[in-house]
Amino acid sequence: MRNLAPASPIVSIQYAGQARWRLAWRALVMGLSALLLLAGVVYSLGSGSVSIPSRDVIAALQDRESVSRMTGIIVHEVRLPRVLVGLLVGINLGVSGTLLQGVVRSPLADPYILGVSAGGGLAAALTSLMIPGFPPGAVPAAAFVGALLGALVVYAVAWDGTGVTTTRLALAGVALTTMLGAFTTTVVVMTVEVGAQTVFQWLVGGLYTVGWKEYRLIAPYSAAGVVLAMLLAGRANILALGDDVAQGLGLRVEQTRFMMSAVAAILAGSSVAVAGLVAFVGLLVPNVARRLVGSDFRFLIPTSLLLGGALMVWADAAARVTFPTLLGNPNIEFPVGIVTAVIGGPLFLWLVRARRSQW
Amino acid sequence: MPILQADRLTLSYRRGSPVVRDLSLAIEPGEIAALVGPNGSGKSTLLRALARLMRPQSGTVYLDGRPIHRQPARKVAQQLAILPQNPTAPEDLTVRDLVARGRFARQAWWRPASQRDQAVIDWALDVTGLAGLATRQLSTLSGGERQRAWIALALAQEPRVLLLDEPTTFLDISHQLEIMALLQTLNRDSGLSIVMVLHDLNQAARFCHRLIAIRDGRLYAAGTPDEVLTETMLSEVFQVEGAVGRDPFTGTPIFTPLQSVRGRNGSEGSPDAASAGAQHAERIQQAGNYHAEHR
Repeated sequence: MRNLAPASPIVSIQYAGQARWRLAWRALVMGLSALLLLAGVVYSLGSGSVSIPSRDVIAALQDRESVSRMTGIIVHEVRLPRVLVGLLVGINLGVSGTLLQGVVRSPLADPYILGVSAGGGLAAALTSLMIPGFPPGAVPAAAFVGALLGALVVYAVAWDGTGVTTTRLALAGVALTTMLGAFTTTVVVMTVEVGAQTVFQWLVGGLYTVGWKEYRLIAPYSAAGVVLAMLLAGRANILALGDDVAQGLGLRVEQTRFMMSAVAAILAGSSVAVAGLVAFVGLLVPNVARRLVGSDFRFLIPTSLLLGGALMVWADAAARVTFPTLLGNPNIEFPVGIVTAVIGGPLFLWLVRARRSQW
Repeated sequence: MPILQADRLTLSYRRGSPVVRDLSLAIEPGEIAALVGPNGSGKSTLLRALARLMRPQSGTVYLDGRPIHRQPARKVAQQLAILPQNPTAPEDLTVRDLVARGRFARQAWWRPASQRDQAVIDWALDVTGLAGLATRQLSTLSGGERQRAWIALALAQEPRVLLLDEPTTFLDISHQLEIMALLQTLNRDSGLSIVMVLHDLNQAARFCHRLIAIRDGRLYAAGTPDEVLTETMLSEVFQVEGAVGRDPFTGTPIFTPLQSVRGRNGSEGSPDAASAGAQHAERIQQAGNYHAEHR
């Protein structure tokens, strides 16, 4: 008999044995995550050098004519694109991490660790900084290819002829991430002269310069990636039972792994292309989501989507307004990647500490 | 026609010499067959190849007369189910959610579970005695319950052949018997053909119609327990000297290992051990008579 203790707060309810409770709980978690996300959007739209009350933000979103011209411009043109890009980056990273954790059947996977982000980051840096005249609209596509290549290299290194182990994947991923990160840094240092903030944007992830252009770049990838991820949820559930069982149940295991990795690369690559290497979101969000709603991908993916979006929106608000204000210099702005690391690091450490046998 | 057939199989893992060489065997519909052999004899590898989990270096596996490796995984999964030795699943999964995944090969991704799917899941839970535990999480189950849940998952595939790799190894004796009895019932009531790797030879002899003994990746002998479970086989395949008698309660052959003869190549066994074996067999017989008289 293994661990009898409840693995998470909800287990005691589930242990009572009612599938209905389980479903209700999952719906509740998703509802609250959605609220957290929406609250973050409204808060972030209202925060900045000019504060706008939430009521006016909501009014501006519903009907731009109902608020002052200035409020309309700040909400719609200055802040909304940035908030939406942050939202999509968070969604992408959360779902991407969830898929990758399913691919390697380990909570220790995320686009950052597995070399996906690093591959995407290098490809984005090379194409947008080194190749004059490279169409900016194609940068996410290049990042996707780079992300996929990164994942394939890590997978190939970890492959021993019959399969991969999480340990080998993680080791190969860390090595590749470090190496590609060094290349990216070199590219950035050699080409970027406009100031430290842009450098940081590339290296730790930031949303300084994003506008509607970036929104239009990332949105199609997010939409396609999320839809494909949901379509793969059933197969991911079968894969979670292990390779032999999954194949015995009729799943094409390697094909499924490849498709999940490719979708994860679409999501992570496009987010790297607009926001740089944002750490921890892809690792933390799926783990929190799994603790809340369990390991069923049909619930895990939407929950990760909502939590990832919420985390990025709040983190960006903190990077833009809260941190600078707290530190007494409202005019500076932090890269959002710093905030996700500062919030995500301790949370993840707590998760590691609190984890039980379910991992 | 055999339901499952191996024709001159040679199996090897990459960069290794063959684990199974030139092995042929046939599983008839409705039988329970046990693959027996010492550690490293290749029986688990053989089972994997029979289940299409690994591609043979040469030779062919036929499922119901058709080459198994030329059929898609989904198609094979509708005929054949495999339970590997130590399967793992997310611990928060409920028994019913696990078993429901057995319907994967019979469902289309755009269509939710049908009434027929639900009925089969209910049946699988029922026949494995898990109906009352359907909403329990796997983490709360005992070893025996867990193993029954995995068997229920395999049954939800509605297979004609069920392959199991050491289904009783990690269980205590009462759970072992429970699992073997369950498999026997499934075989009798549903005509399910069963092939399993077993370590306990007495259990294999008692519950299986046929034993298939593997030595060094080759077929050593196949036949009824009476034909296969002999002192010669034990010494040549398992390198164990022992006595084979008859289980007075079940009527099946039963063997007591007396000593290992590993490393004594070609040894026929010491006279001492042989006589001890004979005495032992006699004692078993006496115990049976005693039991019969006092029943």
